Amino acid sequence: MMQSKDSPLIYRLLDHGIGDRAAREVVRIGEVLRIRTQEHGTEFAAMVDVESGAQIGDILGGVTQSVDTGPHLNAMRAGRQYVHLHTHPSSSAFSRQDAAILISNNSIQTMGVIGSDGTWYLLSRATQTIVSIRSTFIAYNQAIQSLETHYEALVQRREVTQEAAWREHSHEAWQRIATQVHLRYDRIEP
Amino acid sequence: MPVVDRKRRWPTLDEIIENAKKGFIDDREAAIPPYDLEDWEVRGEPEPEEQAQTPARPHQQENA
Repeated sequence: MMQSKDSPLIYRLLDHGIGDRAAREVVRIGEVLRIRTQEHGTEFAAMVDVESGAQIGDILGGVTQSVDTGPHLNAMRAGRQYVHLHTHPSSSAFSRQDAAILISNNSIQTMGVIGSDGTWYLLSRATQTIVSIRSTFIAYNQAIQSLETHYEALVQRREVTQEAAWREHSHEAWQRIATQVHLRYDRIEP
Repeated sequence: MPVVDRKRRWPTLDEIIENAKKGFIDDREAAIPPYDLEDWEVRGEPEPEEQAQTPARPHQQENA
């Protein structure tokens, strides 16, 4: 599951403004988090300096549906930018909470979510314009709602599981609203 | 302490804002598909003043 230097994931990380050395470290550390999530079924989080590629703070362990990254926020230094990584055991796209962490912390340049199945999701600010957590919340809700009939029908017809439907549903919602809320969003499949 | 209302299966906007300040990632919605939920806010319409805050669509930005 380890990515080569020329992998689509590395290219996407570079597109999000992450340096080459840091991108390779992000991939390496993300794989460590993913393996731990596969072993334990819980979330793990880590933080990397965008320029140096140094891991800042410890790898933090959470539970199945949350992880407390307060120690990472406390370890941030003024003037530095970071990539924050955490895992989703369900392999779904960003939660609204994930976006809120990015929006409310200027030192976080990019949020990365790694699914236990090896899917990566990246979210960064696309412009200098800051859209509020509230507006992002509403835009996401509207996108989810507009797609709900389609995905709920797939589940009811038993064409896909609820979890598989939600992986695509949450991904499509972020695809639809990212530009609208001035964020750059990418999914990189294994 | 993180803000988590265990009665709800998805976090509210207020919970999300408070948790973001603390760095607490409440990922209930990443783990729980919405298809059998009856209490999630997505089913409700945003309040009028919130609707007005929704950013312009891309084509509107280009034309601005």
